[in-house]
Amino acid sequence: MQHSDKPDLDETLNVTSSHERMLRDAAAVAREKHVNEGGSEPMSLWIFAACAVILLAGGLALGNAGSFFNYNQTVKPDYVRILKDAEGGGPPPVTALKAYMAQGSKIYGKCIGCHAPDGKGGGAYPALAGSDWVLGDDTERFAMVILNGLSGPTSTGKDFGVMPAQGIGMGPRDLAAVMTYVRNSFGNSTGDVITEEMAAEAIKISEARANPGTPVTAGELDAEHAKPLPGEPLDPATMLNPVTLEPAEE
Amino acid sequence: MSFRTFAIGLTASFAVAWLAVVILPFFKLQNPAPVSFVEGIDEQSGIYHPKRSGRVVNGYEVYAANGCYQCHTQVARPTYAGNDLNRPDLAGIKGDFERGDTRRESNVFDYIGLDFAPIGVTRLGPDLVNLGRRLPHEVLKAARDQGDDTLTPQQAEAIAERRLFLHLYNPRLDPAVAEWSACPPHRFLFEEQEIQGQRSGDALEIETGEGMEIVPKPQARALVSYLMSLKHDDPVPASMNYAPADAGGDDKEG
Repeated sequence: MQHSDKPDLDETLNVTSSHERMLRDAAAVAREKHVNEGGSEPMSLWIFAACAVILLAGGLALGNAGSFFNYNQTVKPDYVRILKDAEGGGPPPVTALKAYMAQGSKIYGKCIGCHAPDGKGGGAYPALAGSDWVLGDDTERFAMVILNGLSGPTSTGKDFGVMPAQGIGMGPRDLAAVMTYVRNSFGNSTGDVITEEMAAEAIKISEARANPGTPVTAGELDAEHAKPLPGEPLDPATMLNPVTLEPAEE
Repeated sequence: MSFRTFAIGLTASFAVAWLAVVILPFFKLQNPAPVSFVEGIDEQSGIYHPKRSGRVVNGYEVYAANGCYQCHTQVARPTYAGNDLNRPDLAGIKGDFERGDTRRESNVFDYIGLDFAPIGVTRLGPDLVNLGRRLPHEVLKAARDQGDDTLTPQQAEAIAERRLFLHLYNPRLDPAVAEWSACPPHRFLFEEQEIQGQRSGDALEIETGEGMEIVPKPQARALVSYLMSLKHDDPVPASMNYAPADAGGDDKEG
């Protein structure tokens, strides 16, 4: 007689036969339910599927980043900076006079060695403060002296020797800036601005001289260059961008 | 699967990931290949080698030792990764009085010479990547707003340094951040000493004992020197310059 709730316990209590029966059942289970040696079980296919999904998502993310594993790249490829308010960027506008003088004061650093920081020269060199050639409307004279240097007497008649040319590598902006600076500092106050355009004309005139590259003399200056530089005058109160010297957009 | 296989597999998974994400980039970024300016395209020539001034390495050690990187970042992210470049004062100055718009992303060379890049962990305090420019600019702007045009950039830097010392001593005394700052005070970086003759030039403006003044110790000086040297808005070579192609005339980079 078999108890239905205790299938392993049967009347005969024959250990060998009940053991054999149990082994047969276990073998059947092992065949059907895929139990392996040592009790380990194969993984369910769903785990593989879930891992595959995760790997795909990760690979997509890495792939969309542009380069898979590039240590030399610190930004995304084809990155262009997008500033929301790039037009509003930039320094606040200042008057043209201030803008040119600010740039000119930096360039005047080259001239301090001889002409002194106060523009008075100090005896061995001519004074720029109050000089006739610096001031006045005949700006071409001043430009020629800066670009080519001077030999012989200055406007005061005194001879200081030879001034080396400063025009090598000097662009129109630098020339305009330093001229404006000198004409409005050290006690000079012409109050006007030499523009880049005028300075560019000056450079052209300087190259068109009879013997370009040699220092000018007082005679040549008075004879040929005693006139204002061609170019449109700029109202010194116009607001410019101090960095580019373009008129500031309102 | 035996336990040995499992142990090897576990070690390998972590080790490969660690090598790829930590070790290899660390050694690669220690000595990045120098980038040079291109003659025709960039305004400058030579190798891009930003120079730092001040006690950068000593100050950096104080910065790291005090855990400043936990709350202060030092990185300007590209625009697809964050809003850093759209802020007027974080990555450069939007309206610098002399140089225009100087904002740019951080690059590898911003952290050259230091043991680790102090990029930071959280941004509980302001970003410091351009502190050496931002603070003097604030001082200059405040002066100009009040009509004072005579303040020079050097004077503004000196005023900014004094403000940094005050901030380190007790951030609640720094008027710019007192209301919201959670920065801990660093009184141990300062010492109280007797006034001998005149007050020291860098004594803090704090009421203390009779005849006593508070001066920064060498550690505080090194730290402030490092902080004021954080000026990362220089022009970069064209290969690292991500400004849009139609940048206006006042974009002075590259």
